[in-house]
Amino acid sequence: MKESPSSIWKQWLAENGPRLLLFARGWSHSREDAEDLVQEAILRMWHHQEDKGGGPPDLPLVFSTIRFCGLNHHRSESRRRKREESVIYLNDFQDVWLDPLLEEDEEAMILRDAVQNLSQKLREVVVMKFWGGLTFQQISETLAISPNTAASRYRYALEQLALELRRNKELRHAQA
Amino acid sequence: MHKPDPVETILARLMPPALSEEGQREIAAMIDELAGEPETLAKPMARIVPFRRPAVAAGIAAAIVAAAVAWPLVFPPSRIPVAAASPAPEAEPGIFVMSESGSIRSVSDEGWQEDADGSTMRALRLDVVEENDLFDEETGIVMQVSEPREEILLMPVSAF
Repeated sequence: MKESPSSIWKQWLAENGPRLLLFARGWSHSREDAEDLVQEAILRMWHHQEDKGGGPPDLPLVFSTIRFCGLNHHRSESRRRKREESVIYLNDFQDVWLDPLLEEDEEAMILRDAVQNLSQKLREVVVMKFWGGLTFQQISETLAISPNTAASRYRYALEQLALELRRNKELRHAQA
Repeated sequence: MHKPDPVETILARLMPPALSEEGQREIAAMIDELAGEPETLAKPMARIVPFRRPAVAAGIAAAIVAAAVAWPLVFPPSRIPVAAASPAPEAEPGIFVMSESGSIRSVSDEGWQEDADGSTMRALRLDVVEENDLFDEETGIVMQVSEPREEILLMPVSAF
């Protein structure tokens, strides 16, 4: 029996939702905002795909759309955010982008924070390459850069992460 | 074959979390609605996005009322086209949210309070104003809906 479009899209969302959410986190101030961004991108994708058979889109296109939506939001809401941040961030709940598979995984925890602290340019490439599973060619199309630039940003990001890992370990070792 | 960088090996031990249950539910509901909707009604974004902020939903409702009230003022009866004069906007076709903005006008400290669990919290009273610009595709009217409200923000007190 042929599956309905909605069940195909929901299946696609179950498979790709976490990586889209992770990418959207780079363009939002909270998890809820990131989810709204994913939702907006899916809505746009739905209309976009109507002329193309109605199936779920390719991931690079969705990343690109999330980025576009994120830029729009960032532009129109930056002033409001500045005012809200001073209040919202007084809360002390933990709001993280990535979960370690094992508890007490110190190295993973260090890298989790380091990924969040990477510059936007580097982080986007790492997220799309590593958790999005995109090729450098696909990343280059999404970000409108050359594949070589995408690859060098990825390598540079790994170097930065390695440096941060080493620095943190040395610091902890010195404190112990 | 590509030999994984040691950093990549550690990154592989990190996974992006799933969408929240609420987020998944909202997107699934949106997909259901999109899938079941006739093509001619599929475009207006504001109709099908289930906004999380109640203020926006309330704003849209208020905008529809405002549009109904403002209609005779903008278009005197003699100039109203017959088709437009009929009370059609039941399905609120083509009302787009052009921009949303909100600001905190004032913050005052309300001291310490206990929440439902008996935990000590610091209470802040916020005066917030949400402003939404809405565009009615059918009439071309741009409406601004302003909604002032008061919020109490409870923050955990972790140190005394």
